[in-house]
Amino acid sequence: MTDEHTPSRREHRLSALWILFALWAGVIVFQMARIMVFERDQYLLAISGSGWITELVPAGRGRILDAQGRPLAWSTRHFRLLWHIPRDPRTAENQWRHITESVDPDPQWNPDRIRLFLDQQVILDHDLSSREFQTLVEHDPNNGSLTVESYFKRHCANLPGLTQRMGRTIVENGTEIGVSGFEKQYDQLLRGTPGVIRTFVSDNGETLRHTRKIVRNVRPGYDVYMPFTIRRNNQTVQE
Amino acid sequence: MTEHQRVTTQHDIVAKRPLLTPAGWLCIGLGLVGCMAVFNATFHLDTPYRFAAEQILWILPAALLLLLATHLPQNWIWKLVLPASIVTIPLLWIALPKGFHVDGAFPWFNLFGVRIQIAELAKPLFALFVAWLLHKTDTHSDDWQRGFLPLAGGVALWITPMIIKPAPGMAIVYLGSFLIAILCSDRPARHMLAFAALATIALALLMHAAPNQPYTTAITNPNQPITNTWQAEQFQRALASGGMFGKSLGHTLWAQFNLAPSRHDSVFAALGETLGLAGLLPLVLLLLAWVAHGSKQARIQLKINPIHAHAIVLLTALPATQAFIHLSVNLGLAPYLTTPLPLFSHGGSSLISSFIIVGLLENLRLPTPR
Repeated sequence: MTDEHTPSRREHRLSALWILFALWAGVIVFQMARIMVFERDQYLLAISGSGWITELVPAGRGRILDAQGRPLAWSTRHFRLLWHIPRDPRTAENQWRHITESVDPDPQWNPDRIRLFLDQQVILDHDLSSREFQTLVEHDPNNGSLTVESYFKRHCANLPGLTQRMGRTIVENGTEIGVSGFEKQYDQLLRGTPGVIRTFVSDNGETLRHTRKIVRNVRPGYDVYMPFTIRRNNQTVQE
Repeated sequence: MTEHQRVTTQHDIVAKRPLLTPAGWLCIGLGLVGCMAVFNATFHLDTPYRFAAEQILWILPAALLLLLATHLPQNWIWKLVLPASIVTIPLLWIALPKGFHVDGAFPWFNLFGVRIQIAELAKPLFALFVAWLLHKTDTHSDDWQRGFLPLAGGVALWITPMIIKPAPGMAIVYLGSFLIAILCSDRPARHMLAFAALATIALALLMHAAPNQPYTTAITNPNQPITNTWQAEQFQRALASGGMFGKSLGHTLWAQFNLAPSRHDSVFAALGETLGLAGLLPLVLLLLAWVAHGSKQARIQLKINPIHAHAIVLLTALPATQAFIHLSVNLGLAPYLTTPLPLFSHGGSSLISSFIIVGLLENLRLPTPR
């Protein structure tokens, strides 16, 4: 009697095991249908509220050199400091005090002026020195309200007649583009390829720094050698 | 002829085993589909073939071990259980100070550049060990001292390192499978309640062990965007993005960009975005078929060899519990636990362990060839 009873009870329990997993699977299938079919639109709406922001990292423009390798046009990288001034004047004042411990802002900025730009982003320093940059990174006093942006300045050798031949560049999305003269002629070689960085912004507009990812590395532009040399008396000679 | 007689007669027939049973072939097939799933989940990376290629490489030794597990003489299996456990349990404890640690997962050993997760690899042995203990204590099943304590003590030796670490996903899979085996055994209700109480204490200790770890924060502070709850939300969005029929490879933006651990913990969601609901349903049905197969074979073995019945229940429950937890986490039905999907998630230890489990189950259900 016991022998017959024991396996039977265990058999029932083994059937119950299957039923337990079948119920679990039922809940899973229901949830899948809910997310993927019935309430899909709500999820897609939430997706549209968040997303990736793409930042371009401008590439350094190549130099234009004479046949001897003397630079005729070149770019230098500079850093500008942007500050999103808090909405609250007192917080803004505190942050201002911290910032000025590390950085010398452009002369037009003072505590009175910042009150006119509350809750706005302003350029605090157009040319941040490496020392200021380092101090700023070490102290990091403002929890992300400061942004450092890099940009390039194009320089040309100060020689009579040369500036015109070299041409002009403009800046578009941080990239220097040749619009006249040699700058335009050799633009494809000089320009390089900007880098791309992607960061995720959550539904409530928060930038999630841990999601930051380099999508494409920066490729600087090539140097271009001109087929002429600069003489000592500053005249150009065709070779 | 009754079912009991029929089964016994079949068991006595001189049988020659096939090289691989249908379940074995299916296991290898699913392993290869898993490589595609890993490729799908890592398509956005700079080296999209790397992880899938690694997974294919792991399939070769896993298939050999599947064959070995299928054809190992059954008496050898039971002779080896205790010595193998005596070696493995200390390794689980040694992994705590000496292993390579990642939050939320059990430590790995680094063996000549190959990372091995001992707790993952030891799952088949755990199943056999518990089955052996259940069988040894079955005659004293009503006795606290000779029926309950040896079982509780033996299982505690395996699970305590996972609570100390803590590795919640792993510990819950081990604990859950053990509880299922107890439920399917002939233990008295008071013992079952005592085991359930011990499991609850273990879970409480697990939560207490690391209050600031991501999985704990995910439960206590789910609105924090960097917690794993945030990740789990992205899993659901990936699934929603897939819809009914999914999106083609290369267009699965949410799986590509948002699911950081897409090849491990969210391989189901990544797959869901590509295949859609229509593609995921067969996977759920396969899981149910696995449980039905194990449940049926355990019922048959009850009348032939009770220790095999215990082992088959555990060998069925381990991957099934793990898979269902993985699915539940991905669907937002359970808090975030680092639980890979057997056969599909990237990782050699998990893959090999799953293959061995299938091989052992097939071995124990088949009659011994003479």
